[in-house]
Amino acid sequence: MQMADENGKFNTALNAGTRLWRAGCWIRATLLTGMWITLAWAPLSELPRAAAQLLVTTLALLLAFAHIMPGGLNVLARIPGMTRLANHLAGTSGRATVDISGLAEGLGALLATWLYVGWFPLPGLPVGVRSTGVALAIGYAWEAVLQAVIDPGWYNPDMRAQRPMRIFRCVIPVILSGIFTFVLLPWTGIAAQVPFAVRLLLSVSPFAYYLVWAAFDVLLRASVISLRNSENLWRWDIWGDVHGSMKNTLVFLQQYVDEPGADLEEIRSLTRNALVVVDEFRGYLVGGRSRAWSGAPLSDLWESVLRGIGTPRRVHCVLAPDSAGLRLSATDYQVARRVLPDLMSNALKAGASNVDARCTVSGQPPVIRIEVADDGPGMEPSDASNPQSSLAVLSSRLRRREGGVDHSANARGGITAVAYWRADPALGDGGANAP
Amino acid sequence: MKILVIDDYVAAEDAVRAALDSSPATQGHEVTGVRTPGGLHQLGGLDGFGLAFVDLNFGRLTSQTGLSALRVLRDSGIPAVIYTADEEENRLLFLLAAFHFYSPLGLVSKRASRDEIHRLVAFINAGTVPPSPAARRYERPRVGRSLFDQLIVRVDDLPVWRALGEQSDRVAIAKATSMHTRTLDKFLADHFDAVEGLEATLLDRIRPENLRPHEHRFTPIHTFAVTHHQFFQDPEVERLINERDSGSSPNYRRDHR
Repeated sequence: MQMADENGKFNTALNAGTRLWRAGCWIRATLLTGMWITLAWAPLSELPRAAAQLLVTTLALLLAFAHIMPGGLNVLARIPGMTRLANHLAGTSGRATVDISGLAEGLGALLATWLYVGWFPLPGLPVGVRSTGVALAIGYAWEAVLQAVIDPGWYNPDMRAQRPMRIFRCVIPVILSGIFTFVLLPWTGIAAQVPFAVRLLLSVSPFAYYLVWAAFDVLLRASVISLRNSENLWRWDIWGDVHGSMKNTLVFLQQYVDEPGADLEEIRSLTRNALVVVDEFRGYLVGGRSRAWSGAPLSDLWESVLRGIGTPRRVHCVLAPDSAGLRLSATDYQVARRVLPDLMSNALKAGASNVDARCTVSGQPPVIRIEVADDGPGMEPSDASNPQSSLAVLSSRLRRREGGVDHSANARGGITAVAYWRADPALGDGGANAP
Repeated sequence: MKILVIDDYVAAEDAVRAALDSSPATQGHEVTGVRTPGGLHQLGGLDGFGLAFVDLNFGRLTSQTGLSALRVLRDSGIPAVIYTADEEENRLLFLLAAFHFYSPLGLVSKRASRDEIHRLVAFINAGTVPPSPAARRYERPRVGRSLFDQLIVRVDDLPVWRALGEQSDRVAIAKATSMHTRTLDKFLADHFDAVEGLEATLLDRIRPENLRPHEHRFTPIHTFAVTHHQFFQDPEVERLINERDSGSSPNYRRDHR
């Protein structure tokens, strides 16, 4: 089995184990409640002793609850004198080992069983109540030990159980069956009241662990196979997508470079676009981002642009809060992905230390405007009118979408550039939406 | 001529526009782009369009594929050329289906130069079918059953192909498709040659001899089914196969079956 499969098996066992343990605690709590109820038929004089025995069982169960409930061990640690116990229980989680909680439950189960059978059972219980009580007590012990048989610790590839422990796991049913048989022997006349068939059935019940164990292992293996199959398809889905998008972006860049008379500013713009696409995929792969462009808020694009073009830390770049949640159609998102890096790049080249950006959709038909204002002194008015300049190239590209680029000096001594274009009317793939 | 570009990338539309603008012979054409097949319905009618460039995969935008776009275009009488990254292995069955059911005028790679694109448009504008050697290998054979028809013999094959992509265990696949494992083995045996034939013909991939025996059929077919899972899941494929089997597919002649 591959390491990834073993980890998958352990993780599944861990997730299932936590839930099974919690469910098991509640099942034992129900069984224990039944045992407390049987005391209603016990002679009054025997009640203190019976209650003391069941109290041990109850405390052991509370310890088990503390072990499994979120924050339970913290509560236990706050009780004076219990810190070491809490630390011990915290240290045994996820490992195949014996812990105090398990031992306490074992002792509690034994004391509970001895209320009905053994050497000093409660006198005066009707046979039906005694048989029910012993079945409840054995059921309690059976359930508690089951948790040990299917404990996630057995599947931990980083802390493999030692050979003696693995052998112990195999003989748990035999040992427990032996203990049950011993406890259920008709040691006294009172204990002998429990019918033989009931005692026999309860004595051999631990052998059912082998079936449960086998079924649990089969389910774990099946879940690992399911995980592997899903991962396989997921790889094709996500990585195929990543590969396709990256490759498309680079293919169109290469195609442009290969054409005679390729413009250097356009190549720069396409390269910046490719860098932003590369950054976008980090967000998709680590999660938290919409996989469809049309679903992504502008703030996602903004972050990718800043990382994609490598914004220096000295520059303070801010996207207006009212633009952050704006969602554009697939077409407009892609246009913005070309426009925003170009404008930002210009601002940085102009030596800006503060860059403010804003994106708005307004008018009828809707027009998208991206405004980038900087405080950089570096740009000459003639730069924008040069047909080879990046702004001129961008403007020419946007003219195909009934748009362009305007620029003007601003109060901060820098330039405010406004790129605008007519919004894509195809609303089916996500028209521009306000946040 | 008004030309449609159905591609999730704006860059594809720009590339076609730039290609047409680069030659005086094609400068007058008007290019309109839509990002998804669904976008075709939002154009307010397709009258006046003389050609469409159709991508086959719309990745993150929609689960619809180019096959859906080709149906809309066929119904509107608009000639189409396939414009896709044809080197990608998982486009293989989409390309086969496109040429089987819709007979597009040609296949243009996303890597095509401006020259190739404007030459193709000039041909179509002149009312002639452009030479498209790349498309030939995907076209239906003039005689005999095509590999595509051998791969999906009937519509009931599709759930088996889907299960073959989703499960990696014969018994699980048999359960998922409510069939006996022996029936599944027969399916694998019946379809193995088609898979091998497709890979040999279209990907120039020859399987080593030692992978041919019966017991080795499962792994290559499972890998094939995973690779083409998107194709087998496409509802449009099921619709096309149903039309083929009922003889109602306009482009599909029964004598090819």
